[in-house]
Amino acid sequence: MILNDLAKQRINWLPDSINENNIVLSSRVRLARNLNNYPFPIRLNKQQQILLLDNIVSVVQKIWNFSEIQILKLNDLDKVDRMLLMERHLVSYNHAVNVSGEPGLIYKKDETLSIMINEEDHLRIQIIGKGLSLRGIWETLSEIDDKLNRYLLFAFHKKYGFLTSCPTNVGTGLRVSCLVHLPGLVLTEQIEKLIDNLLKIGICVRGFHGEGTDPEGDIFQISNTRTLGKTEEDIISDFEKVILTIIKYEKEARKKLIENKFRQRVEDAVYRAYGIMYNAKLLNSNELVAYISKILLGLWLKMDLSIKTDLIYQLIFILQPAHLQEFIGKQIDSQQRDGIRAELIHRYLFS
Amino acid sequence: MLLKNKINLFYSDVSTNNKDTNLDKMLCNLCNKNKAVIHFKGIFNQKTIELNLCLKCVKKRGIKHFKEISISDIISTLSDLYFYNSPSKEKKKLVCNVCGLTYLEFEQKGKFGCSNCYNTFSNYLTHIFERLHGRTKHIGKIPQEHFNVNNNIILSQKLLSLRKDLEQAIKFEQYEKAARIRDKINLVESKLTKRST
Repeated sequence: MILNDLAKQRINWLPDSINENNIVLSSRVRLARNLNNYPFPIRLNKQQQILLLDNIVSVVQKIWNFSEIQILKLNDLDKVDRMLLMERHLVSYNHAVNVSGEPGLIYKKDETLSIMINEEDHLRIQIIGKGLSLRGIWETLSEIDDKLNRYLLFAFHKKYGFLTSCPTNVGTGLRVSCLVHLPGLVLTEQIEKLIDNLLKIGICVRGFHGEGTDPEGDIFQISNTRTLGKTEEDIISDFEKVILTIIKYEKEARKKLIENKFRQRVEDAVYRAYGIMYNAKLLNSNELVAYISKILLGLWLKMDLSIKTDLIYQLIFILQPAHLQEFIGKQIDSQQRDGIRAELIHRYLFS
Repeated sequence: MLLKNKINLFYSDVSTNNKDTNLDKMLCNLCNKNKAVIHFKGIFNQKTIELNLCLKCVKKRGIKHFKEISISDIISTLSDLYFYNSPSKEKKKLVCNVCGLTYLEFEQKGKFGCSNCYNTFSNYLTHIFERLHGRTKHIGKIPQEHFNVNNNIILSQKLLSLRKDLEQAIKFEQYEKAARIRDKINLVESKLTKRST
């Protein structure tokens, strides 16, 4: 465990405080790129992946100061460190558990930029920002893409655009996503319908932990699925329109929660969450996300909750298993983690 | 090709009043938009296949005078369509000559092995991209080296392979062939220098 400093660092792309606009917690934009002189990672052996990683590291050092960035070979890290990187959204789950290849990570120390190397594609470049900030992120990301392109020739096809390992990313290689908090749509039971309708227009909704997970605590990850045949700007502005519509629906749903029959149900859900978090001696990470999500709704509805809010968004991330083990400095089992989590919740929210 | 049994070929002009209402309502199998005016039914690879095409798609496929349409035109169109929709021997046999990925592996894993796979499997990609993205052609960002240039990279790759060919030709004392290759190399080189200036 060598990344405990990272575990203690505040996550920059989360909202600082509770306010009206916290339906969209964060925005993420990522580009998939491959070099034109290597097969894609699944057809590379470890030796070739090492060469490719070295090649990219040397280029990255021409663009950024050594002091600004962190370069990691994930195989040099233990399991906890690797899961920590995943919990902080610096790497994907697949990258965190890949032990057969040479998975690499380059990130800016303020965590505003991360580049996964030898994931499904040679390069996965991503930026995460606060709130709804896709356009600004795209401008920065596109500049970084151009800078890398000065030193690296990307696999590109006249007709199909940027070539990627998976046909779902071909063309722009662009995936945009937002982490959104939608308790209103969940409690008014409109979320299923929304998810179905979004799927029809090429928008995918996933749970808090991303690919293949169930939604927990009314926090969802929404992303585009179509990457070919549209310009990057259009993909982003169309996606932004979808997010703005979702915000509108969520606000309408929350109004309903205050007005009528829902009120009692909502208050019950919020106070239950409060009560359990206040009294629990063991809290697992799924419960944590679910209850904090309810507390956030209560705060938004201006319910009378005596609670400290300065770290509330951070806690969703920094009380996950790998973070807790980094704080303690050793591997501990899940019951011990649940105990420490309950203790820390009490310290940071109630005392 | 593999056409064994009888073939019924008939067409109805746009102006013809067709009594068969089903035929009349039929849409083109290729574009699914326009009314089909060419109807074909035959046995192909031991399967009965029906093909209904509109004028536009027939013309697009390079058949200019559809009234003089030949059986082979129909078959080539049909075999395209046929390979499009079901696994065939040829499809199964496809192997990328750069990374060694077979079409079958591509189908199973849903992942390409290298950039060249996109060329190797290009006949079957339109359909896949249509389904995934609703579109088939990239209109977004273009990397710097492809900017303002038709395709510098393709040209330089071609140059490399031509030079290899030239070496081979000289090695085997095929001097006539070597001269032709040299002319080609000059042409490509002139294109490249024109672009870089």
